[in-house]
Amino acid sequence: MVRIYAPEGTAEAQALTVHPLPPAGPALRIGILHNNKANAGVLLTTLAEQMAARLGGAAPVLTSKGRASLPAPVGEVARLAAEVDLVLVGTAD
Amino acid sequence: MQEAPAQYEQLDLDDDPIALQAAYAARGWGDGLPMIPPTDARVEAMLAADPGDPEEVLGLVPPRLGRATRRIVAVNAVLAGCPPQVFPVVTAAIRALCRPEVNLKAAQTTTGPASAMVIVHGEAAERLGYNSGHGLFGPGNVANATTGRAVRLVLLHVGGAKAGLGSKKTLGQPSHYSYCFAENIAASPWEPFHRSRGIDAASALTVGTQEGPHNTQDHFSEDPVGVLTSIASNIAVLGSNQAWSATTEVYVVLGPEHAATIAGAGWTREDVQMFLYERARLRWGDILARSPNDSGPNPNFAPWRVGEHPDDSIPVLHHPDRYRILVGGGAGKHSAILPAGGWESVTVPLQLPS
Repeated sequence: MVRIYAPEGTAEAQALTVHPLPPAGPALRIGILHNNKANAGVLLTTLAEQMAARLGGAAPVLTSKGRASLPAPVGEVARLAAEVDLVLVGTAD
Repeated sequence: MQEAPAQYEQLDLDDDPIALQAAYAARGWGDGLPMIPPTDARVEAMLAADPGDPEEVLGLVPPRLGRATRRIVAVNAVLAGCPPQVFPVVTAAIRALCRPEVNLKAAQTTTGPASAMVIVHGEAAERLGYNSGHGLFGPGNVANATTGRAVRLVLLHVGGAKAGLGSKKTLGQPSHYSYCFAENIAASPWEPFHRSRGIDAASALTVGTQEGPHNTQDHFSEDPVGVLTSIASNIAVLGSNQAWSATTEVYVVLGPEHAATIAGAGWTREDVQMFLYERARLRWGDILARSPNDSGPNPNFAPWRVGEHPDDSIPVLHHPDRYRILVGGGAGKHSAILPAGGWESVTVPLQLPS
């Protein structure tokens, strides 16, 4: 027998707050945080527009991260948070 | 010998090499190749080669945000088969890779082929036995192979970038096993790479998230324009990552013969950068034809990186300095490009224990 270390070690615990979804209805303001990937805009915009149409609400607010691989600028996130109730984000290609 | 701190899991396993390999695989550990068992004695010997607090956190490795303590990095260095003398390079590499500008989270999780590249510059390369000549990218040299592998195992185990789980790389690359080499300063006609980056130190380390090397052969050109035109043609590829990333960098490892041809005509490293910036270009009409949904240029492009006419030529990289030029390898008329996926490499001084 041999005693060995496991190679993974410990990890930082992240405490995330999950907010309840806002009520669906004509007053729901929808936003899109486009990650600048080629297909993200088409997918997210189509999804958001159909949601807004079904709920009878306003057209979605579109904003972009600028670069797919970096976090959204803090100012853009704050602006979205002030203007919308629900944000659709692109997390892949 | 002191007991391991309580936060480190230890297991008792069958010490038969075949049984050990099966035990590792059953736990999802490793890169598929045999690993050296990280016993207390081996881990302590590794730690002794880079004095410091074993519980110092060198960085948090994404996406798992694992704590890369010296001790757990030593565990992975033992697994990789590192001789202890290269451990200071491994710890320096992990610390550098965790810097925010490297954007390791993106490189770890992307569908693209970004690997963890490590380049050793200066005295450390010779002192620690790194290969900078023939067979630069492997295989065969223990320092190169094990350093690169140790870094990869840390990213895999501590960072949680396992294929299909934390890592979504569509294809991966052989460079994900190990990607470490040394600059061939002896064969370089220019100052060492790290000094060209403003690092005034005897030894230095560069880390980045480059793809594996793409070879360029040119056995015919006898002047810089010929050699660099061949290299530029390997960069300006419509289906490449660098064509679409817009802000990326490309390392160009010139084989010594190509470097001699270029420098023999009086060209400097900066001349090489400018030439590649000017010549590695794509036709605007071809870029537009590949843009999604007739929506115009790729949304990742900076506003200035557009053309008016289909035949306008657009630079692949957005600045000459994004071409990082160094010399490596042995005799033969080959060079290589090492493109990144859009993130930064960093070059840092490398302090070795006396």
